[in-house]
Amino acid sequence: MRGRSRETWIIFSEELRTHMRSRWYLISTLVVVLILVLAVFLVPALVGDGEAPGGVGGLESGLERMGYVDETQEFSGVLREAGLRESEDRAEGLEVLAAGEIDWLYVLPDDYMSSGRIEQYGAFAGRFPSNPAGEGAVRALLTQGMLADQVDPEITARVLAPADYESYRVAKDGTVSELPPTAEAVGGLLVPMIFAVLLGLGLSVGAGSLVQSVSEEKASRLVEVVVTSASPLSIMAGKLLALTAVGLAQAAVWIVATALTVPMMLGRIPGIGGFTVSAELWLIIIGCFITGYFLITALAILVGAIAPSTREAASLGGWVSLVGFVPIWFAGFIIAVPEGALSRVLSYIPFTAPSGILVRIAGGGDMAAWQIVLALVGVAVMGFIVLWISTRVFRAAILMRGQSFTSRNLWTALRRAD
Amino acid sequence: MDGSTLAIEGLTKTFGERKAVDEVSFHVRPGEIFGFLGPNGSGKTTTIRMALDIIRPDSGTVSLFGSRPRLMTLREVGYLPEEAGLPPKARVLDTVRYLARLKGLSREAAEARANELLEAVGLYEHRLKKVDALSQGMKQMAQFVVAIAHRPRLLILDEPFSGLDPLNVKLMKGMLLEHQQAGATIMFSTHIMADVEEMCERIALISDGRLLLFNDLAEIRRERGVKSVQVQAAGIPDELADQRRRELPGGVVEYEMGDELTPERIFASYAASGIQVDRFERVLPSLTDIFIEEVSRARKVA
Repeated sequence: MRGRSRETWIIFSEELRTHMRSRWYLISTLVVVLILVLAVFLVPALVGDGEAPGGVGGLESGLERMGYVDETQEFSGVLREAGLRESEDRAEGLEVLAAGEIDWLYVLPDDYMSSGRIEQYGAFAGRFPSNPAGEGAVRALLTQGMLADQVDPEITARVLAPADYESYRVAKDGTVSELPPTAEAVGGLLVPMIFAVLLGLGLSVGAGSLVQSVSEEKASRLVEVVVTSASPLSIMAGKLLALTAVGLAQAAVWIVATALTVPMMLGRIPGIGGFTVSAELWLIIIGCFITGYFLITALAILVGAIAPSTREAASLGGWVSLVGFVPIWFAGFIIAVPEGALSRVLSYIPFTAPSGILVRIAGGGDMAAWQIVLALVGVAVMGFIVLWISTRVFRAAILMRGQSFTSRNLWTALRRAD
Repeated sequence: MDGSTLAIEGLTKTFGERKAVDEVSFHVRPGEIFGFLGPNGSGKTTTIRMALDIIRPDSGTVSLFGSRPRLMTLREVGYLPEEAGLPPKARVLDTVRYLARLKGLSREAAEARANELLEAVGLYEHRLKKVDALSQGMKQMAQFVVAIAHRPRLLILDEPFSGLDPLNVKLMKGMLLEHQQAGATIMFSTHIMADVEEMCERIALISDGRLLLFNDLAEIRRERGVKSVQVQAAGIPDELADQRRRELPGGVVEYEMGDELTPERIFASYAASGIQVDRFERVLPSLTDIFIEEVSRARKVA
């Protein structure tokens, strides 16, 4: 290996070794893995009990924790059969509720048929009761009770569940296609979105500290020794490649952890089931990560090189950290209108494209393969442009040692920075 | 100048309204130890940075090994900056090895050389420590190891002895002399005159960015003439009784030279008086005297 490539390799390996050993790097890598592992158990537990919904009004279990008082004497049968606990009167019902034997008490006053009024008692937290499942179950049972022996059981069933929508997509050319299964749809939304967030997170974790480290190095005496040993391009390229590799190594750990945990997590959520991530999506994710890390790292190096002092570098670093997150802020709009102007712009602007593409795909955006390739090539090209500029700025900043940071001095230094 | 290891011609650098370096010219010959002197803020570091192409002059030229400084030639230079600039979070051995590799050594050679030099300067036991765990003197020695690791043909050291205890100063001077004997050229900046008198054959003195002196050290002192005469004798001749003099320990009398008082006249007076003289010595001005005189004169003129 000769000349610049040797210098670049030495700087690359040194930077790689230094950053891989960084405590913050290891912690941020492992924390995300830990969160994903916890999500496998916590998300299904928070979403549901892992069994398919069924029974009256979608509430099968839990009816025994509900009680009722039927002053109309019209619905006792259907309510008792469903498993609700019967009380003779309001006072007895409230005693049972106070004793903790039931969570909710429903009182059907004797004027229920004319007023529709039902009293609901419960020890709920917050300003308003939140018992949609219980209310739905009681509503369904009352409907069932009113229609029993009056109409055909099939009609009763339809009254209780009048519409089970089955949707089809109609393309511009009139072609009709079925929607993907729920697991695939949820996975298609969740997986790119998770990776968009991970990309934004990874970029923000790395970019801020990188800006500061370049700025500190520029201001230190070490750089005087380094610039008499290696060209600015080799220094910048070595740093860029090392930090991109460091970021991608972190991303690789996250990708593997996500690939292992998210299908497990979705498989435990009722009604979703297992799904697989397509090879095309993996390719897009990997492409977005590689180009995204390359460009944002180059940008961080540029900002670090241009920052007049380490103090300014710290605040500028915060702004660079935000770049990868921009599409995630607008994720609501992008997912709602994946083919809208905002979605298109954010998925083509090089600085936002890597996470913008992922959010747009999460929203079901219709990006052709060539469009994705074009956008990512744009990101890579912009990365090289930023690298070239940062090399010149870095050299110019060193040439400006001892001088005040004015536009005139900067321009003079930039012209001399060969 | 042809054949010089480093030749600086008319170097000028302005920062804002202030001329940090003003038309400075000197050259460093192959194999010599060259002292670059000046008070604090005189432009020494700026000149060194221009010599190493770290910053560019507004005018003037630098010739390093006979050509404009480029990476290829700069790799033949070992540089010790004024303040230790090693990465604080990196391990000492890793840093030395890394910078030696950047200067052209192979991985294995860099490793071996780093261990050898760290052993030589007493830092071997600290080689796995982070730089910021070292004392100021240790950092300076580690930086020195970085500068000499690749056996450079030219060593440029900016205030190399600052922050070192006498033992380390002696150690560093010894290692510098070894490098010189091995054929290296050495240039160091300092404002400590004793170091220069001990080590250097030639010097350049700058103040407020301007070159005040550039010559052989011995020649500079000779040019100044005799500063005083010290005589160890049994008495004082009557002829010299009115002259300004100082009594030194050991019965030594020191006469300050004046317009009328010359070493020849003192010698003649003692010879004529018949007083027994045990020692008669002409004292040349010290570099400290010359430094103070030159810098003060330049500042008065300015």
